[in-house]
Amino acid sequence: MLRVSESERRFLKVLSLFWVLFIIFSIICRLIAGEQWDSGFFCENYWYFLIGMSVLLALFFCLIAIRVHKGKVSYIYTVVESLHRYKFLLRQLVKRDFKTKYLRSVLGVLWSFFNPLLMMLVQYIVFSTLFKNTIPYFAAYLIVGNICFSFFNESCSLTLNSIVGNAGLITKVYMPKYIYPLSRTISSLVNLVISLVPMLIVCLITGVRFSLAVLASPYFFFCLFLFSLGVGMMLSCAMVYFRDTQFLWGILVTIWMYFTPVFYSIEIIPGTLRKIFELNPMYIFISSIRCCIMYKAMPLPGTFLKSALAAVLALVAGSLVFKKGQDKFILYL
Amino acid sequence: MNTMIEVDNVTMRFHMNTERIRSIKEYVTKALRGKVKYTDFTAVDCLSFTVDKGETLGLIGHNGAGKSTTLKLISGILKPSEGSVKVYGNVVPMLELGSGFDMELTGRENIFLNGAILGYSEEFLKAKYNEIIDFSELGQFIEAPLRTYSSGMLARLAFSIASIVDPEILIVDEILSVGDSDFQEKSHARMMELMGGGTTVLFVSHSMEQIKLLCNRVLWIEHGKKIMLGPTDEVCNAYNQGAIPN
Repeated sequence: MLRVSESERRFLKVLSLFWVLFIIFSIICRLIAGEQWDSGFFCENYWYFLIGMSVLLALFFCLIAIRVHKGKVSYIYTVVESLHRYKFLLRQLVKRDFKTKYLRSVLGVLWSFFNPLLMMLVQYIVFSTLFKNTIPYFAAYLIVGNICFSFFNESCSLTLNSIVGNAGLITKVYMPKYIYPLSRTISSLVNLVISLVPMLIVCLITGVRFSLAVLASPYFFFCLFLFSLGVGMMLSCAMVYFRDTQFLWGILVTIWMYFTPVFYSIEIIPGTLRKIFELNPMYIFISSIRCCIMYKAMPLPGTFLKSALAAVLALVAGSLVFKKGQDKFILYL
Repeated sequence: MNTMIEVDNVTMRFHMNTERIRSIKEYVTKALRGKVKYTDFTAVDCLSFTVDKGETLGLIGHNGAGKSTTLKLISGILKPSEGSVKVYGNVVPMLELGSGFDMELTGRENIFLNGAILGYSEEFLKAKYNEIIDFSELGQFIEAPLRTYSSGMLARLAFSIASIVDPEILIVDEILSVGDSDFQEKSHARMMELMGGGTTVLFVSHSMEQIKLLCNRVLWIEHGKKIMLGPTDEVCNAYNQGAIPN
């Protein structure tokens, strides 16, 4: 009889849940996409790819589970375990961020509605009267791009200060340090979810009709979340050693915004340059979300892969940098 | 007897720039001129000791001897440069009260926030919630934001949250008595109760009376090095005479 501890069982549950979700999501996407995914090597062999990938994923998970059972250190296991252990703390920290954000303002949480609306309005006026453009559903186009990029911007600038700003806690109480950036990114995510409401309103008013493809958009929002978390972790780490990071990031994120088609269309970029623009992870996320929500179309399977790749790469890089730096934080605070 | 804390040959070395370099420009210009100098500061030097279950170990030594660093090493805030610290059980460090309070939130919300930061579980906090409020004697003010509290009220709330614990290992940096004289007495009694109740305690104090009253054994540190470790009376006498044995 195999003896499995409580935490190992929980870990197995998480892994199998992830696996099942992956398969169900892939099948649903294929069904919704229907004829849209009929051309191209990847689309034609979709089911073979899906089977291959789920087998690979299952093998990978089994491998981790066996390693954990043998008592070896696995980073994924440690993360799952400590997330379970500190979920109460995480919830408290997110609640705190959320409550204090609008605490002494008159409109309170309504600001999360008005902010994207007003931003959109300003850009709409500027870009439809001063600079003409021919983008269909321009108001919806703007607000989708805006809430995605503001989420990225907000979460990164919040996470940037998460270690330095909590210096008082870090030097006095022990808790895993990644809790700080994670809680800030989740707080921004809450904000993003609230601003989805004005986004939907604008879409309905401007005459966007939804299709089932909308169901795929949470996937891209999730990728965007992981990507922002990864970038934020790197930034928070850099901030500890060099306080210049905050100013540098302020400039960088502005440049990044202008190089992301938030208020213009990628079509206006000439051919060769466009290839480079399309590599921008923020462009991949925003264009896929627009595609699902506004254009009734499923993004191609390759886009799903690219998004996942960008998110995972950023997250892995972020956690590696963070893991390497975290023991020394306290010496620099 | 089972061991609760095992400190094995621990050295904590702070590798510091002589001048704190905080910007990239400064770093580059200094590095180019070969001016990035590091000095090592050893706060704890090859320290080894163990603490058994139910024992109260006192830490004494002059200011800057490395007592607080040792406590931080055991509570996991610092990672040792060399050696290893093993702790068997949950540690509750009562190092600084009320870290993590948010001034904008109410007392009630801060009980949960601060409790979560100290590592309490949700069930535990809910069960002990009334006890915390009763002990703090804050009454209706518990629903007011913390920025409206007086410093005494803050300290009372912080102490009430921190002392509600049922830890296996308790780390105490000076006995905390806060608030007015009534509350001081009460909090002092609570500390004594906590430290007497069969938990393993690491206790730092400059008061020889308290050390003699509470500790089974005493560790004397000076400049990060172990000077003496032994029964309370023996070490305290040596410390009072200022005699450093070879």
